[in-house]
Amino acid sequence: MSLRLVLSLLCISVLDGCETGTTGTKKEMNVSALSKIDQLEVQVSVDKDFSVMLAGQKVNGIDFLLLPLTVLAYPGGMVVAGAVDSINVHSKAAVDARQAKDLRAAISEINPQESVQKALVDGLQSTARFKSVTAGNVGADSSAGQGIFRVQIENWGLYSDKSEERSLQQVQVGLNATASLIGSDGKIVWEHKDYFTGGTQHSFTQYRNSPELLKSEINEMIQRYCARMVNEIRYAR
Amino acid sequence: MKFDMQDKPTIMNRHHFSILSILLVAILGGGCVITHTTSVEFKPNGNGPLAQIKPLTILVQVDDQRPEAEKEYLVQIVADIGGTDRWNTETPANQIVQDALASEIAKCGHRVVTVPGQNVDASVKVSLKRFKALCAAKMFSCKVDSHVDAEIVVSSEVTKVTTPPFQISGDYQKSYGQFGAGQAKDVLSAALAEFVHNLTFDSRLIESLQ
Repeated sequence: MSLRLVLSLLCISVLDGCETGTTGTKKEMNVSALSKIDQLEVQVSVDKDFSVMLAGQKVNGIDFLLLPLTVLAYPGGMVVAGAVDSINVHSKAAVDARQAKDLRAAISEINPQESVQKALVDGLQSTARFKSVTAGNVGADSSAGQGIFRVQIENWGLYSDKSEERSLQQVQVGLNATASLIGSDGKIVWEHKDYFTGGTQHSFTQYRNSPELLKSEINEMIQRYCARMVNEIRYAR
Repeated sequence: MKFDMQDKPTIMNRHHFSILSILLVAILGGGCVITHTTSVEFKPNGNGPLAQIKPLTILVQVDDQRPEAEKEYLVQIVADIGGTDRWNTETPANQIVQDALASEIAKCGHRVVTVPGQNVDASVKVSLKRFKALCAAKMFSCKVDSHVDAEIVVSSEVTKVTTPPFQISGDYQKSYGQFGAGQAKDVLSAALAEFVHNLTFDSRLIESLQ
């Protein structure tokens, strides 16, 4: 038996049955560990500033326009189609980046880190599950009796997963975030990854012409997202 | 004619033959689509904010608004060297979502109807935009992304308020060493469970029903 064949069989045996979940609920709630947390510190981080992602880009971890090509094409044609679309996507990304910069200037007072942290502290206090809920800085470790509710916002902004033409007419605010509840022993009690959208769709022109509309939609989306997260803790059983 | 590949250099040596064989399999297998049948399972939890609302009669309707091309299958696996496996369900996708949502709402203590009529306190109308799982199979693994996306409109007959349409998604991603009917059922069921959970914990739904 050749070395190559042995290595191949080894790979098959190692990878066979290997299963890893990466979106949605990453860790089911451990209610017993949740009940041991008396004091909770809320930490929020934002990886990227406001972004605009319209057609042909990864909104929810999926490249919507490339998928049909990937699925339908033969291996040879797939390389060519993929290369052409890659150029288009990068060109669109540059346009979106410029639009994001302009819109961000018009909504400069929006601070998602502060807004999310405040809404979570207020909401989690109202659950009456903890003796105290405080805001904290990202990176601080949990200690005896104290847990951490950590939210990492990977990106936030204006998104559409529709075709290029339709996305200009139907775009909405959204965010990608991972929320984790960490117990006093440092272990993850619950973890959930979300692509959360504001829901109300407007044309891109409406958002561009009305910073107030954009601000209002972002603020509402943040409140809705935090209410969802608070509900996960409030009704955990 | 004797064809000795060991001793004599030929146009088609062993290396070329291997490449040609792989390409032949890819070309022949590339257009091959096999469709299997699977099912989707949903177990209602019956907890969460929906269970805290006083019992209502709720109309639940799910309309299939997926693109026509996406109605042909729920799971598609495309192999590296060609060949496509698809899984579909005997029950229509919108019916699966409707049954799941209705069972969750019912377990939360509400009466569910699926046909419009009198004595309805609120209606939850779901426009199903996507329900599918896709995978580009590699040599030894298969990473599957499954999604349920829908647009929701909630109307209260009590307050006479209708929400603007809002989007709810249920996403699930998993890597498998082997993929078959059982895994197809798992990924679809997991995405559906996420979708129902995300909807029933959403403040827009809850506030409209209160």
